[in-house]
Amino acid sequence: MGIISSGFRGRRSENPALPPGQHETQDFPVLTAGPAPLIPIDEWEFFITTENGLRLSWSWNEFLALPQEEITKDIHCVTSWSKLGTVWRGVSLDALFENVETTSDFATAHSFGGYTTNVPLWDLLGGKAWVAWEFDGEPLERAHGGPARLLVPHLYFWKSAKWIHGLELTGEDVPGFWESNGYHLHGNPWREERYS
Amino acid sequence: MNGPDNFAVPDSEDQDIAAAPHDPIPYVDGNATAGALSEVFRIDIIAALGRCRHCGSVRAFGEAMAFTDAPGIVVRCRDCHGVLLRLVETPSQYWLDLSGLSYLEIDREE
Ligand SMILES: [Zn+2]
Repeated sequence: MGIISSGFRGRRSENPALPPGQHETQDFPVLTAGPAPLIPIDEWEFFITTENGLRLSWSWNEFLALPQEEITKDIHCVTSWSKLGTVWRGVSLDALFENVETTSDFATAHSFGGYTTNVPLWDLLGGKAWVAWEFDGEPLERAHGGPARLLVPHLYFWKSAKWIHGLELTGEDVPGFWESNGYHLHGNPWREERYS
Repeated sequence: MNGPDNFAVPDSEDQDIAAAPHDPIPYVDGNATAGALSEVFRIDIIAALGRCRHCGSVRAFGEAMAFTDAPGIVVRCRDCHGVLLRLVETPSQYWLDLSGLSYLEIDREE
């Protein structure tokens, strides 16, 4: 390899915001495993179910009445692009879990349309994850997961399930859609947890 | 809500499916997966007839809906949008899930 290409790689890896193997993009590519479900807002809900049969749910208006946060975070897609400084608005999962008592260590995120992904509960709490419904000051586009998507920016972006419907708490870590077919159970971009 | 292997098994009453004509997510037809799938199949899977495990429809594999802007290739039934095939390529392995196809009917070479 010539001097030019190694110099280019050198500069890129000097950006401390980029995890290993990632490059920065200005676009917001649409990656999806299937059609975008159309969810009428009066039928939308977000649910949490626990191992002892408790089911909490919020309608769209109940969800919007919860404390809203503005979130500025870098996001990292496992296909190797990263987008820095993205701005979202949404509800912290800490607020949604306020009245949830559980001994579960894991959650399966369920999307409208059937997509699933598994996330340890400790990756969802403590100011690390949100249900986001605004991107860059605009309502989240349907192609990007609107009305609302999970936002877990410290993990690869396939964990930030589009069209989020709810979280099912589980005792075991149950592989989701991509995790059951080659992708890593956890997906930390700083450890390059891409594949299983 | 979901099948035992985490796939949605939509039916024709499903709102998600009814919305398909206005879907902002692009897809291509199954023929477009020929290159990637020729790496793992010695047969011509594009011309094979496959039966969808979710709705029972039987069609040429090449007629299916292929979502390729994703961490892997996802091929879905054109009739019910259930997942027929998933292929993930890692640096060292292929992960192939065919559980959405209850059979493939493949012409033998003359
Ligand atoms: Zn089908």
